[in-house]
Amino acid sequence: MGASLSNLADGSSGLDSGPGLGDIPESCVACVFLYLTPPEICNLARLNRAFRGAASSDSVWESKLPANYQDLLDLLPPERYKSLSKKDIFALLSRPVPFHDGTKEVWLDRVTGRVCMAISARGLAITGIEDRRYWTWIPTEESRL
Amino acid sequence: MSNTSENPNPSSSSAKITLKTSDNELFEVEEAVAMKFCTVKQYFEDEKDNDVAARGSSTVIPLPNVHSAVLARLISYCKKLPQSNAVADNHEEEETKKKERKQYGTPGDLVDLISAANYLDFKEGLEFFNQALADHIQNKSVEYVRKFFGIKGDFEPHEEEKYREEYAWAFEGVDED
Repeated sequence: MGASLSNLADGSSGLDSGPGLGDIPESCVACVFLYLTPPEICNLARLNRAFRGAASSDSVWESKLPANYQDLLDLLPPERYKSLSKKDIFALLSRPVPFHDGTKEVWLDRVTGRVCMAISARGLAITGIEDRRYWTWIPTEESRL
Repeated sequence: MSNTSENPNPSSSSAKITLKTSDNELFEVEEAVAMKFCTVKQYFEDEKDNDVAARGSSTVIPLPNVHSAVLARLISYCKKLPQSNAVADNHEEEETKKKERKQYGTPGDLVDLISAANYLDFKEGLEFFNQALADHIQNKSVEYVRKFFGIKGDFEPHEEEKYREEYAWAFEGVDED
């Protein structure tokens, strides 16, 4: 198929032999990104300027964030996320956000974008927790909180 | 092979529209198919408003950005519709869809199809071909994609280093393999 559509795009097509992926408009790259995971997008951002531009687009990252991401942001002081792009919000939330005096934390899974949560035993309401006849606290190395 | 598309349902007497490609090939397609291309639809409606041509087969719509080989494939894709673009809800279904997408050729073909679908403002096709292209570049290294598609990196070395840092968060705790 020798169709030449390079007049649709601004750049020149990389090498003569290869098909012109470099010719795809940035808006189309953004649409392709809708079907890729965040680590893949971040990886391909290094490809060229069109890919990098698409990899920063809010429309792409909006689709990767969970519907309730604002609830997660509400756990942080507003100045930490106020002027961030959607991409940077995803990056921010992909690291654990502690709350309830650090007894719980939430974060986004980097691949699926789903919300993850860890709850310390200290954050659980356990019947008779203060009654030492039934419960004792044993420190373990695995515990982080 | 004739480029005139065959009517799969001869009993229907739907109007035909003629499209002219960049290499001066004429395609006679059913109105229902042509109207999926919003660019064509817009042109067609403008013509009608201007009353330049009577509605029907006498209208020839030029598509200077679309090659005949690409248009033929887009039309054949249109006829296979409707398959839904919705995300498959199980692994098996996803594999079937992937196979279906693979039939649309090499990444180079897909780039042509995407560019044309984008120009024609053909939303369903664009989604489908974008997803097909995503299948090809999924889980591939930058170096591989550059080599495979003949893309030259257009960043300065110091820029590239900066971007690597900017996106480092995405790879924290990911095993190198």
